Amino acid sequence: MTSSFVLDCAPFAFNVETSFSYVRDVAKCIYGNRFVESTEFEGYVDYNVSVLNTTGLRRMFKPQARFLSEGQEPFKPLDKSQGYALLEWGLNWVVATHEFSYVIVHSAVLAKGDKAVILPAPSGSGKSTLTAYLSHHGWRLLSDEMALISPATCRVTPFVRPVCLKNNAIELVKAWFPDVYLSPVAPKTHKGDIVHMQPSVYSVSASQEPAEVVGVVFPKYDPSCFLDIYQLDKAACFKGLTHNAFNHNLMGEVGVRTMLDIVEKSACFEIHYNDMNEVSAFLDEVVRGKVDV
Amino acid sequence: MFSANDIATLIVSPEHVETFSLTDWNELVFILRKEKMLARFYDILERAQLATCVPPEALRHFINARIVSRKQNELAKKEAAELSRALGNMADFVVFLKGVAYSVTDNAASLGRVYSDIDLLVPKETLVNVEQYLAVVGWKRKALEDYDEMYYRKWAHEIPPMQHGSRGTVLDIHHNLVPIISGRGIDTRAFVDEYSATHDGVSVLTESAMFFHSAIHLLFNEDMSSAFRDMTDLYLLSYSQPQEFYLDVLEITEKHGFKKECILAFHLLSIHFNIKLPLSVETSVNEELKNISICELKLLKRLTLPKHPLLADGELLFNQWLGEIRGHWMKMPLFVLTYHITIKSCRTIIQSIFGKHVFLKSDRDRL
Repeated sequence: MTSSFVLDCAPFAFNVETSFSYVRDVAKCIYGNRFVESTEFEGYVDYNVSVLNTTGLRRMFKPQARFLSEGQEPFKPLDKSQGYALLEWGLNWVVATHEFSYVIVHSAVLAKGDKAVILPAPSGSGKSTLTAYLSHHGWRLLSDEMALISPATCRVTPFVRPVCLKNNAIELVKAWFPDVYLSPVAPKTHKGDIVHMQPSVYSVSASQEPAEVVGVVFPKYDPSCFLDIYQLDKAACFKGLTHNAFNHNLMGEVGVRTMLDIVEKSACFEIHYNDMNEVSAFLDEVVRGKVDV
Repeated sequence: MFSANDIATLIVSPEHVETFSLTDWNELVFILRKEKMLARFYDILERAQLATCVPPEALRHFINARIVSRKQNELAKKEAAELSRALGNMADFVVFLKGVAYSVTDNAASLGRVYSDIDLLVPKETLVNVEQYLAVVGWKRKALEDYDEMYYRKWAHEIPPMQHGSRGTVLDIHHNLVPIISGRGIDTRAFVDEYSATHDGVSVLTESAMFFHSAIHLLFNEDMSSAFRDMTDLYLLSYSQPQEFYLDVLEITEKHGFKKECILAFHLLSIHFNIKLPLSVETSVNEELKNISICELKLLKRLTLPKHPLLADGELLFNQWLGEIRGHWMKMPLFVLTYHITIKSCRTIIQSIFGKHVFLKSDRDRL
């Protein structure tokens, strides 16, 4: 028995079919009014995906979740308890492999008003924890995972989805925001224990409003640093940005030009921090244009 | 709701889109994406000056597919030129086949073509050298289940695929057009001598030989998952050709066999896309069709159209399975087929107990 629902998650709508009722329940809590029953959805569906029980007798004694998208199966199946995480990663995969209407950079995106900072960083740099914190301290979350940049502009389109928190960050975030919904823990994934945190109401309500990138900041959590700020030269920033880009090479010249433009027009920094309020204050200066570029 | 025939009709008469609702467009995008036909159909619309009919919600997906298709075409040309240079001294001939050959010659079938690999044909005796040389310059063998590896080495007409370490391009290196085990392998050298031409330093087949190979690839095969796309390749290769083209194709079959496959291809083109065959060819087709069973014809007629759960005719999993059996039956003598099916079905049973992925190595790190 499977059921389907639509995640109407601008700028894309995904139709999700699942055989796990818990995946459906978690999606409903996380996406709130952007969760729509498939039968009631009247808009355009961009992608069909499914999270299904694995085939065969295995489902009886060791159920696994498989992610499928229109006949493709990009990942090996995971334990059933990781099914919701698999859905979120699957949606990232679908967008990163099919969408070329945006230059896509693996990064968090936060904004104040219509001015945004993108925070590209590899897994383990504390990016998501920082994103979770800032998105409840005056910043609008546009994305925790990918910056969707319109070609030949500095405009970033919000793609507001949950923030993926790992290991120690889970308890930390629970203590900071006891009222915010977190998905059940998906234990022992390749990233460790993970949960997905519901995006803030404010971020969702502004999810149709694009912003202009004015800063590119590479964050690194370092318990021994209060806040160290290093200004990056444009070449180093460009290198860091392309290192985190998904599709600029496939988009060719316009992809590279867009990244160059962003770097040219943005303030570029690397920060090492252990105090998130200080980071917030610094980023505030970046979006207000108070730092030298 | 569309029928599979409706989609085929759109290829020839795209003007039907003028009356489409947004739901029609939504379904069409899903169906075409599965058939790897989004980019090609958008090119067809543009050629018919109908691109303005596409609503913005659907347009984005057509443009996405076009970007991928154009990039693949451009990259394939570069890879072909580079491989021709690199392997030129090592093999008497290096002939590029299928999608990459369409791109290299910019012929009609390159229209919105997407493909996952580069196919080339080299003399069998040079395979070892070619494979070793490619390994030195960065091409790696793709991981396979051990049985599939054996299958390639012993029975197939190609060696296991190789993938470029940094660019990710996949190479399929053939030494014949069909598996050796079928007993119907062609004299590759004679075929290449007569039916290849060089285009900017890259060797490809002549257009009639491209059609011949494409027909074999489609109809002497067990995997019908891209059959509709391949059918449109045949359509694009032939629709504007003079009568001689069809006669040339038949002439190739006199020398190298596969008359049945080419006749079937002509027949399917006439029923799916209203291709008008020259009278003499039509007579040959009608004559030859008498020797082909009605069931086989019906099966092929259906499998060469789109297959999608959103279509009125459905995904046709059972028919696809029949098509697989048919393909294997043609390719393998009975004793090998029995062995192959026994091994494959044992593995299927094991997979049904332990899950579909039991024979693959774990790679949780890929996520």
